[in-house]
Amino acid sequence: MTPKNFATRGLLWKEIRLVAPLILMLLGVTVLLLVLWSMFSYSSRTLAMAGRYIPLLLPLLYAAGAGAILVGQERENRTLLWFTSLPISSERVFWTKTLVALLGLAVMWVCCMPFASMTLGRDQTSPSNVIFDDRLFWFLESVFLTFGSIYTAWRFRNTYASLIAVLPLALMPTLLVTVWNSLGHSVAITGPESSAPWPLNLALMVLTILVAWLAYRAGMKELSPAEPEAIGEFDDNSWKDAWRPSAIDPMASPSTPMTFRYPLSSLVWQSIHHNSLALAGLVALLIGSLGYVALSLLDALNFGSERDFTLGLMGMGFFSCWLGGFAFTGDGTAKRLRFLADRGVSPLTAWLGRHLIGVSLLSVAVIAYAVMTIWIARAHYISVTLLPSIAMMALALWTLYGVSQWTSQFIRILPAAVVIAPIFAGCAAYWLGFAANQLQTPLWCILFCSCIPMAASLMAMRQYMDDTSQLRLWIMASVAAVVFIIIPMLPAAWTISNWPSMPNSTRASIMPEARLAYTSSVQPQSMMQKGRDEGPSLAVFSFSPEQRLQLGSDGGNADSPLAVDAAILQRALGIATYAAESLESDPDNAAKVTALGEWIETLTAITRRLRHSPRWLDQEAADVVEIWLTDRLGREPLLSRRDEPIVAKALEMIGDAKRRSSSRRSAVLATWYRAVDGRSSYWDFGGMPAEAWTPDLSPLLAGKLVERNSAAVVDRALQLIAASDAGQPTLELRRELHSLTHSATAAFEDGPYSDRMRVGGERGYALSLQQALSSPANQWYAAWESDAQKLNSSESSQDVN
Amino acid sequence: MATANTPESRNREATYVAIACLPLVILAGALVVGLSREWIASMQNRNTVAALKASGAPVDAADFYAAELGRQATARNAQLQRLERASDYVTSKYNEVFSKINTTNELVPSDQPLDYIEIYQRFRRDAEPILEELEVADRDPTRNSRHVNFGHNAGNLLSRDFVYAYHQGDSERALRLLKLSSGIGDTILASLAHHFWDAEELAQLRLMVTESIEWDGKWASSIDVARLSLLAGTDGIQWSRRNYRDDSFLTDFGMVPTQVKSRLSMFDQAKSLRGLGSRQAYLAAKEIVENCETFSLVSVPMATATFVGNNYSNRIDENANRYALSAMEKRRIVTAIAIKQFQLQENHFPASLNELTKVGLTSPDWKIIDDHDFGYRVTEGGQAAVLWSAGTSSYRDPIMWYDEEFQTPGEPPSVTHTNTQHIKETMSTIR
Repeated sequence: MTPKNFATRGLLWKEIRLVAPLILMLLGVTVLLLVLWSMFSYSSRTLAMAGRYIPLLLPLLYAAGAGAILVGQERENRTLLWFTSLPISSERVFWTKTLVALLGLAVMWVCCMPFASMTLGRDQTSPSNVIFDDRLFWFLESVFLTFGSIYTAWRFRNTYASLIAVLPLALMPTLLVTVWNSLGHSVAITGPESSAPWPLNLALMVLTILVAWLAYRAGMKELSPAEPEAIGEFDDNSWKDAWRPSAIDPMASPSTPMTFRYPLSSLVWQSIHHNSLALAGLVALLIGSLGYVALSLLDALNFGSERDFTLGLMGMGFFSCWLGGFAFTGDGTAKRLRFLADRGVSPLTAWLGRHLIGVSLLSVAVIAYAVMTIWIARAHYISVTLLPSIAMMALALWTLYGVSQWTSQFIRILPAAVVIAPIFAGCAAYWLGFAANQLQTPLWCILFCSCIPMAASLMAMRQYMDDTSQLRLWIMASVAAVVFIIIPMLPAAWTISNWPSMPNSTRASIMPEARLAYTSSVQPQSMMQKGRDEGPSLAVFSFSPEQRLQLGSDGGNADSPLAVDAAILQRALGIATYAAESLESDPDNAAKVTALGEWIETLTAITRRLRHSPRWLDQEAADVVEIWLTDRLGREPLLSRRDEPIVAKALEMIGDAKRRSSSRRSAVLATWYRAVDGRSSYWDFGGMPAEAWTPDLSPLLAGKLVERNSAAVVDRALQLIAASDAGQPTLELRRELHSLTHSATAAFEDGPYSDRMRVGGERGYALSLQQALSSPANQWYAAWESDAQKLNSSESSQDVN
Repeated sequence: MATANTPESRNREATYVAIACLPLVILAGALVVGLSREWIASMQNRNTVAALKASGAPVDAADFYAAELGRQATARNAQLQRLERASDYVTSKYNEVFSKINTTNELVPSDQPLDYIEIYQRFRRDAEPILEELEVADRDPTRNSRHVNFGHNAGNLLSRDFVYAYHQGDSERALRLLKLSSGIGDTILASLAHHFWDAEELAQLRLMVTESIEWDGKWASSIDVARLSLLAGTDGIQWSRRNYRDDSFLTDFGMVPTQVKSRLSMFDQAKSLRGLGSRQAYLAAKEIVENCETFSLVSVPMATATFVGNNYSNRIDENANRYALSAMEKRRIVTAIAIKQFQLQENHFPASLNELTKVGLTSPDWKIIDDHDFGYRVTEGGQAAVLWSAGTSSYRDPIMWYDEEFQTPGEPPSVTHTNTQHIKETMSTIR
């Protein structure tokens, strides 16, 4: 092996060692994101779509960070300077680094494709994947970005600044698409309709060659022998000099007026002047983002439409993330802060010093946002519903900043921290938002959690400044992360554990009976089924005599269960009501007597069949028909016809309270068993939407609680049956049923379980079908049942007499 | 030990750090001020709600649901519900056939054949018992027939029977039907095209329509409903309701007491508006809405301008606008009836609307808006009179109609417009 080959192998080995941590971290982060995505994507279609882009993070983030890690890190460690003194040509150093960067990119693409395959099929909107559809475009983009990051890394001596400078390059495809579209085309590079035509790809190739050439020039210049740095003289007249650290002059008196007296001000000075280029880049990013939001608002004003200002808000998010990362990079690295620790500066002072400028800039961002949005929106009276308020903006940016500074504390590799911090911060912010929206975590809890990352970095400050064991830092970070994840869940967990349910003893005791009630039941025949068999006229217009008879019995079986169809029942009751009204206006008309008699017979048969159904809703529907019958049979002209067989049969049915209770109990048990056995969703809890009984809960919480809540409703309903059979009052049980099903929408006194909403007796018989069917057990054991029993018993007593 | 120069250096350092802290202090101050404003507004809202409650105004969820559900629990409503149910059956039974023979309930005079007359006769036979019951319900002193109408199905039933009554020349029955109906404007205007009503019936019709032009009660009621809707947390704003039920005013997401306060103030101002049904009232309502505060410094999570503003601001001016349009339309009906009265009385049409004073119409009744009269002309030979209102292309967009494209109807709509539907909607021919 020649010395030349040996040197090349050594260089390759060194460069690979440099990029390996970035590759491993990105792989880890991608896997983490995919796991999180698979857990949360069900809750949002947008999130499901966003999953298609996660694998793309691998090559793109790698490309953005490759230059900084291969060049910037070596510059920070001063090894680059050492290389220039070795007998290795500048070209070889440059091309070795470039080759390793491209090799790493190839590895990233190899890993990206299987991940992309995994995300296929989860997105309901498109059977294909953007990565597969436009792989040439994204591949070229990643190569372009790799050369771009290499160029900025050679070009800027400040690594942080070089990373920020990659951002405008990364936006180049968007710019190209904008230019292309302005020429009359219509192209999207994101979203389900993405398609990148060949001119775009060609333009990217040309740009890549251009940036590669620029990178080569910058690299050669950097690796060539350097000119001696001019030693600047302090200008006594400069406004900054009063706050500069004292000149490195062994002869200077320690009490020179130029010396910092407070470590805090020294740290603030360093924050500004050590990385002024990076700070300038961040401020430029902030101004650009705010400008984008302002333009969007003015656009909305001019064109009357709300333009999407998400990109501007995202820019502000990146600004916060990188500002956070700024805290523990550059002059904030562990090695630099150790210098302060050795000189007795407290961790708190160092922590405050590193954050003061960041938090100050963050405040400037929020104030600028506030002034701009309020001024534009106020001046022009436009309503922009999705524009976050100042408090919301401050909370979001604070969270992003906190998580990013925390990330930069325990990820020591600057490029990796800069690339990964926005991902972690975005996940953390999403988690808090998810907790607020879906877990209904209170605001104070969210505020508390948003401070955890800052507290964590403060607590770890001593270890960080001492630059001792990194393992301990990671352990502390892990504990804080667990706390950050768990605390927002606690209020929801408390709510769930305290939600009313069915006692275990009751569950165990009713389970055999419920199983029997379900297994011995026959599936009810739908009213609509008959209608479909006969054509749509049954449901929509009127009933022929044959259809009416079929509703009353199924092929001669008058006891086969029937499932209610609200529209058909409404129509049947409408016809029956019309028949009754007609007879009231002409009581002696024989034809009208017959017509009404037929309908009373039909409704009696329908009720009997509904009572045989194992569905809870059908019991409520049977109640509606019995209430109608009780109302009509209790008034003239039917009251005087109680001895006619049809009327007598109807009276006997409505007067049979035991049969009613027994049917209700069976249906409640069968409904419950069907749900707990997993044979139906809670959207069809015996025909009723159990998931809609808790509308003030988020869909997620409602979904978690629906089983407990439904079991509690079943328990109270069974208790209601037992209490009524025993002649005990039902008020308290009705209150509980109200709180389980309607507490979010009405006070008990105004809800369907209150006395004044229960029909019968002096309160009258006004009852809409919708009202009756929307609340379980709302008319059970109301005054109409006693009215019905009285009607029947007075008939019996007449018979006896 | 500090030298003589040290204090100056320390001062500069302190200034330096203070300048770095300044934005943080400003932001913290803004947030504190904003939160304090919300807290103060919350307290003021509670006081306002307490005062409203003390005055007997409906203000919370319980009132809202009592108003919504309570009406079902009385014997009178049980009767109305039964009638609506029976009307539903009769109208549905004939829906299909009427949709084929006379979709728009077009009136056919007695000297022309009415297609499928036997269908109308069968419909009359089926509807008669319900009509009788509706008349009984209408005589109920607890029912204010000017504000509470029968249901949609009953309305359908009445308007269909009117077609048959009109063809039969049964003006007595037609008047009975109109008295029970709501939304009768088009039917009355159409019925004036032929000699159907006598002078006495026309006077009754005019009185009926004139009496229906009363907005103040409805306006106050609509403000109550809008305020109730805000405070009761209906329409998707659950946080507002929670705010008045517990003390979580600063910890609930989406809580914006300053905006609730501005809405309450807006409702108060709007309720004191008088002269509803005019353009001036509409403009005043619009100004009240525009002056309403819609921004909040610290609302969480959205809401530099929230959906509270979107949901509740526009109702006020939209209602005022609707009332103004409706008032104009009712004045047009009154004017049209008066023209017919004039014709019966004088045996010719009036040469101008000013002549309507002879039949007791005052000039404000024949104004579209401000000082502009309805359009009016008599056709050549005096065979017919045409009355039209402001028919601009933005007739369907009332705000535009008032603000920008308002035209006095100097020309008949057929001249200023090409849209046949607009012409038909804004013009009545009286023969």
